[in-house]
Amino acid sequence: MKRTFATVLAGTMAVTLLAGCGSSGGSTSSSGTQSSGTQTSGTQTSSGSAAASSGNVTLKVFDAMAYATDEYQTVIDQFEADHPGVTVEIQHAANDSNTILQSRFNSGDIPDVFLNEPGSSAQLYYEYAYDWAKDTDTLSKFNSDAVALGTDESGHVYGLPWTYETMALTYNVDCFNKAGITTLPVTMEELEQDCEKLKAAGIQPFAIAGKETWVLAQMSTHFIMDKSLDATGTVEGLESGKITFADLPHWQSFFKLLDLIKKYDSDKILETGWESSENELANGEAAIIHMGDWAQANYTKMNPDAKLAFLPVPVGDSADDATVLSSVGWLYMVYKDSPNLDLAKEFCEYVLTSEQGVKWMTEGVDAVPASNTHTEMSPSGDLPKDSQTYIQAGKTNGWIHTIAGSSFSDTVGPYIQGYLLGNYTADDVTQAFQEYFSSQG
Amino acid sequence: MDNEKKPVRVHSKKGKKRKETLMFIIFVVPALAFVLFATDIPFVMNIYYSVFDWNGISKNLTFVGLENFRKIFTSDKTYWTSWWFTLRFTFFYVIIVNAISLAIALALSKENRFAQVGRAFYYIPYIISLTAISLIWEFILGPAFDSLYESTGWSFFGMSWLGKPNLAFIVLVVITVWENVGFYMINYIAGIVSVPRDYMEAAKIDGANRWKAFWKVMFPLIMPSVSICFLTSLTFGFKLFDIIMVFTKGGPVNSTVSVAYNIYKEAFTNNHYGTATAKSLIFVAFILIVTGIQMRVTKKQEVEL
Repeated sequence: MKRTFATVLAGTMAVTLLAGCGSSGGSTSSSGTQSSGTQTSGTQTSSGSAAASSGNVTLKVFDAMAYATDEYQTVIDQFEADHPGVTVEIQHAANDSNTILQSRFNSGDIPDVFLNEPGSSAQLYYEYAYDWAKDTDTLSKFNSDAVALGTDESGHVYGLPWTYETMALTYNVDCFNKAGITTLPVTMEELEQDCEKLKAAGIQPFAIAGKETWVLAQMSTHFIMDKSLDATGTVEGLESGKITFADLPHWQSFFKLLDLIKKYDSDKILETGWESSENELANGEAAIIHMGDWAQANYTKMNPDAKLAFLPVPVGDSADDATVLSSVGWLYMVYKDSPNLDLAKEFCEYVLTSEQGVKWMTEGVDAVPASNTHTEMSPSGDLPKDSQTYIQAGKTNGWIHTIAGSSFSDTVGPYIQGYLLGNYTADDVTQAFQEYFSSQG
Repeated sequence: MDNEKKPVRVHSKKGKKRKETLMFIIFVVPALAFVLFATDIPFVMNIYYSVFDWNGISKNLTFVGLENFRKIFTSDKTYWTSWWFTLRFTFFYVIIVNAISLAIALALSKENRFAQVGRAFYYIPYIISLTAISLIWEFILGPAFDSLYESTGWSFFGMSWLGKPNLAFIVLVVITVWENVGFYMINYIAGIVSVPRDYMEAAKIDGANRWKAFWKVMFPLIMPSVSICFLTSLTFGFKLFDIIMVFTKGGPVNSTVSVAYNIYKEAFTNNHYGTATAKSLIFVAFILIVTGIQMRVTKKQEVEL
């Protein structure tokens, strides 16, 4: 009796074990409308509330960000309402999206629509992606510079661009006013004078997120940029060995900036994470950080009254040298062998160009869309508005860190940290950058 | 009688065998299948991938032979620094966690109210989720230390604990010891309570002092606990990953990159899947050798009651 009971128990346990194993893939895509504020972290899944009738189609969407999910859900609901029988199943994977997407591809659970950062990340998936090159009607709805970011050398277009993302030094306007800074610094010497003024006014000049290697690496790309070559040209030149770091016009200024940061940032700079960096800026505890306009929603949440603006990175001698780097945050890519190819294409186009979708991008996410269908709508935040001005004035250059290979931040970031700690000299850091780019060629 | 009994006995023998086979299938096969699918088959596939150049996503794998291994041994500095970190970490972790937990276990092995509360107290960190642990320590090292520094002025609280490589190393050892000490303590207590009291009393009567009684009588008898605790703490130290992932991300200046974290980064951030599998094979081989030696050494020390 006892033994039979034990056998049954063991059997049940084994079955549960196997069942648990089998459903683990599905557990991330539970249904039900789940939404949260802007930019949540972690993996969460929401799927449309819609139709449960038979014979319906489920469109699987892998979303690598989770910005303004409430408004996003409205777009999806609208899409489902326009397409009876279609259910959109979205996985929002804001954290570790690369790993999750890779495991979904490896396990054969390939989403119909998936998002990637343009550049090295997206290139990994080009062989799976639908080529939009012949859909000229669709492509004409996007700015050509943005489409170019998802285009390879032979003209295949593997993804549709989402919104622009712009980065530079960001400063708190009130802090600058309090310190009596009226014109933006255009050289490192002027920046140093302004740091002194800020310090005299009792404000910590910098709060760079030194813990995050990606912040440091992104910051360094302003000094790599050769404006005559733009991002692609500079990276290609460095990788092929045609130019070296000694040829870069503004590279040495990077160490001037790092020296300023060493002098005027907190002693615990390598402990500052991106959240506290953004927080200190928004609340006026520190005047300058390096970040992009994607953080606008965070700033607004941290301090609704914060007045912020971009400070073009003063890499050279004049305002013309100063850099603001802008690119597209995400590419919407369609799986080319998807059974729902047309629907997936329609979905991308709907999300990126429809009135509802543009409303999500401008009002919800507070960003500048890469599509040109509803230019009457524009973002309201300080930084996206600022970046729109720079983009329209043609003063922006492309992003280097996204096309420099996926291990760029992890490789060079620690060397920058080492310089800030005094473990490495400027030459050590330069050599590490040089070796990184040579190894990519 | 005999004629009647014999076939029955044969039948029952057969039945017993059949029953045993059935038992084997019911009890062992599910577990075996699970281990096979989750561990052994992926391991074999690992060996296969380690000779390819593959980004982990593409359908095209390029055969490169032992090129991945050559690259690891000749030009991968970060991998070997991560080894150095992991070995240092394991060394300190194994010694400190075992010494502390054994001391606590000796103090709390008696059956009284104080000991019960004490055990719970030490066990709690072990059952807290890792995310909570990381939040707790971020708070301790951040705002808590800051305000202590302001009120006391002691430089101990003002140091950049997570911003300097050496200090971050100490912090990691402290956190992992604090987190796991309860687990090893329970193991040691289990060993200690199973030692018959008369052995210790006999030692006392023979004139052994407490120190001698512990080393000469108690310690050899709890050797099975020591052996299992050393094994688990060794493998924990080598495989250190999760706390790095949520807490330091390998920083500052790559000083806390463990081997497991380096392999993870190689596979999923750098998209060098082949290289990562090659690295993991080296890692597995090393762990097998070390734990093998360790088991041998401690098994020799074990004594039968």
